[in-house]
Amino acid sequence: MRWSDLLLGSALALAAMGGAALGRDTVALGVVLEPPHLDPTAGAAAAIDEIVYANLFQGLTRIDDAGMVQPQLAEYWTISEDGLNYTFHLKEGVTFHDGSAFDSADVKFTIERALAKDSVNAQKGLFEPIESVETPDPLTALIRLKRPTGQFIWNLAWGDAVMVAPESADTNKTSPVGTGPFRFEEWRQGDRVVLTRREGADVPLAKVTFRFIADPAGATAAMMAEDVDAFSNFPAPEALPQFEADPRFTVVVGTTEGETILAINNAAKPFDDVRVRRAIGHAIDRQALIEGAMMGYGIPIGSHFSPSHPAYVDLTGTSAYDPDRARQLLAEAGVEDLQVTIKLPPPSYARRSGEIVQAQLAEIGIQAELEPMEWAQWLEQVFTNKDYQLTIVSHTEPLDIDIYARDDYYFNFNDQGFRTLVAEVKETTDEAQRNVLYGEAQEMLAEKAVNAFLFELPKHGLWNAKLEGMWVNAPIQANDMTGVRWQE
Amino acid sequence: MRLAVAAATLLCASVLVFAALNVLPGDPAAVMLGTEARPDTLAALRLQMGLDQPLVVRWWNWLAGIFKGDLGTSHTYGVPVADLVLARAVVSVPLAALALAVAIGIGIPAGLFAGSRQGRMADALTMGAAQIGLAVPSFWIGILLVLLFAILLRWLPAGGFPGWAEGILPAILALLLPALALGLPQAAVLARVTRTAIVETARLDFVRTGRAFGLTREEALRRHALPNALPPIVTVIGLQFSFLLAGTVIVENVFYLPGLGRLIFQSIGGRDLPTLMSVIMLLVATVILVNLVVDLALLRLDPRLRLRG
Repeated sequence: MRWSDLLLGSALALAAMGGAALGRDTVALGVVLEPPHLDPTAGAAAAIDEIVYANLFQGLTRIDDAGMVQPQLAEYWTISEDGLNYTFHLKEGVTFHDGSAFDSADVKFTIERALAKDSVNAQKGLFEPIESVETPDPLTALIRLKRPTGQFIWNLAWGDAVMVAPESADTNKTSPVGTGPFRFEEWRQGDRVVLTRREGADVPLAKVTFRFIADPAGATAAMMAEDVDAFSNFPAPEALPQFEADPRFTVVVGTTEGETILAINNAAKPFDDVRVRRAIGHAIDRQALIEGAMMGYGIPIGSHFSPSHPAYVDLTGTSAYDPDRARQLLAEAGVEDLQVTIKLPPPSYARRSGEIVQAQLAEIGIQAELEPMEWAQWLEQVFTNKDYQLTIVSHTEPLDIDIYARDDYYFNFNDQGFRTLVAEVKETTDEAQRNVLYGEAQEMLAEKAVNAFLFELPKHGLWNAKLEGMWVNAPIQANDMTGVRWQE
Repeated sequence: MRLAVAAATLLCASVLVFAALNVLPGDPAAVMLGTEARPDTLAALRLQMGLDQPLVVRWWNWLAGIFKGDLGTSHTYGVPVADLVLARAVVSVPLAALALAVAIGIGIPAGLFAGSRQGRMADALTMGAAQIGLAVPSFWIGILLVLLFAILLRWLPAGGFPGWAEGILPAILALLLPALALGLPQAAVLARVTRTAIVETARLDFVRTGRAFGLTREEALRRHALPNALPPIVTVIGLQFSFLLAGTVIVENVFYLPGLGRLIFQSIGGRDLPTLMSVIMLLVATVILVNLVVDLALLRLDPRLRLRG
């Protein structure tokens, strides 16, 4: 090859790269984590939902960008007086990507598969209240419950409850077949997943490429060079001011469902004493923490609840920053020269928060040693074996206050009163009443200082300024691309 | 004889790799299910993954599989490890080769240049540059290269890999910056080794004889000193190959390239033991093979070794 040929070739390649950005019906979206597989009904990884939810797979209901439940494959439903029987009227003419029809038999199959003994559905709990599924006709599915379940319609909107077909369920991990407007095109492991518009689907984009970029410097470079068009949650908050100053980009900081907590092992001495736990809460200056660890992004919280939910109660006052009070509480509890270890999982919010929490605890005389660890180690030591004193982690499942009512959960918080309250919330079908009970539950957790509640994790949206329809908030861990389009 | 030693080394490595990785804390099934895992779901998954079997059985199955050409199934992706490794190798092997070309293409001429001007300004400047190249880590060079060529000039992509199916040129262009990031520090090493070898050889009689027969200093160095200085340089190139393979872990992350290095990184985080064990064994085998090739090359280059051996 002569030099002139090489130069010409380079120019063509560059033109092709530039041209891809001008295609205007394709989007390349950067995501930090690669999913282990693509079946949302067989794994907890948020990374799965981030690609397939609403795009490829659909449920009977769905969650919209405001966190509200909307009809999806069920056009409408009726609920019996006693709250035990849900009759879903399915949309007509829906087919899976392989051409097979979607009907009530698929609903029955999906739910029974999730409930089965050998099921690996990560949210089996969502289906637990279900007694049976009946199929009076192809377009009607009747779900009978064991007991009234307030959040049942919401539960069915989760990624773990999307509808799958018996013909394709076993191979959904590598070649997913759903009912959504995008179909699966290609998965290059370690690099990208490509979805393409299904024939006749009413969505603006013809192709969506999800590219896996975990490294913050790599993510910054990819956006700056316009190799990718968007990150729904950008992994390098320190680079955001630079993007804000650049008219090519839009930066939108939204809310997530991620409560970031300094989790306390309630069974480990001296943390079994509520005064010690309260002392830790009063030792933390949340605003300083958010400034120092999160570049100022993040909303302070005082209990385990998302500020974007209507039932949210601001309880940051219960454990307001007050080092004198903290020292006094420690003295009352008879605790002196306390030495603790904070185990830190890999995400940068945890590592950075750990350093500031360490400094703030030192102010009240608690010497904390930081112990960084990998996820696998954290899951085994902290989450499974409960071998820890303090740890920092974000709980990103929506409406997950019920984890405090679970048996054997890693906080070691065992409180009958709280369990009764959560059971009551779950059975309450009236939304206003349910929100009142959620409020009480939040107060109880703040009062008992189960954990030190730090901040709600922000969602750092960063995309090309010409892109519209990206979700601002993350009420569920998903990237719904069905409404995304390029401006003319 | 050399082959038998290589085979024995591989077998020992297989035992070590399996033992070392299986004592790592962290249950692969727990990693897959995350924080929402319930005990019954976890038990179901462990059964599915074969994690309920004793360690010895798992080791034996793994070893038997390797001899049948079956590297197992990736825990992370649920696809055959062999397919996964192959798909990644077509990125990493060309990357390592390109980086080696950068190292040799820059390092040897630079060393020759500096060595033939020993003690002069040019020598000092070249060696100063090499010192900087040694001190600066690959990922930092990578970030600087991206800043210049991808973000400011927009000549090259900032990262990622289009795939060979998209054509050879786009693929090579995508590998260019990572290869430079990876190869430049190695070029610095090579420049220093070459310079030293040249300086030492230049003192020897045959170079002086060459000069006496009317060759210029440069000619004498190139024709007589360089060939005789090659053995240490080849040895270093052999060593560098292992460094380059290890270096891909970092560079592939910075440039988000879907290569073997990134696969190792992901497999550790996800406790994907079948994949991890296979990739490590593959790297061990490669290093052993490269050493073998270097040994043979040295034999050709230096007849004295042949007499001894």
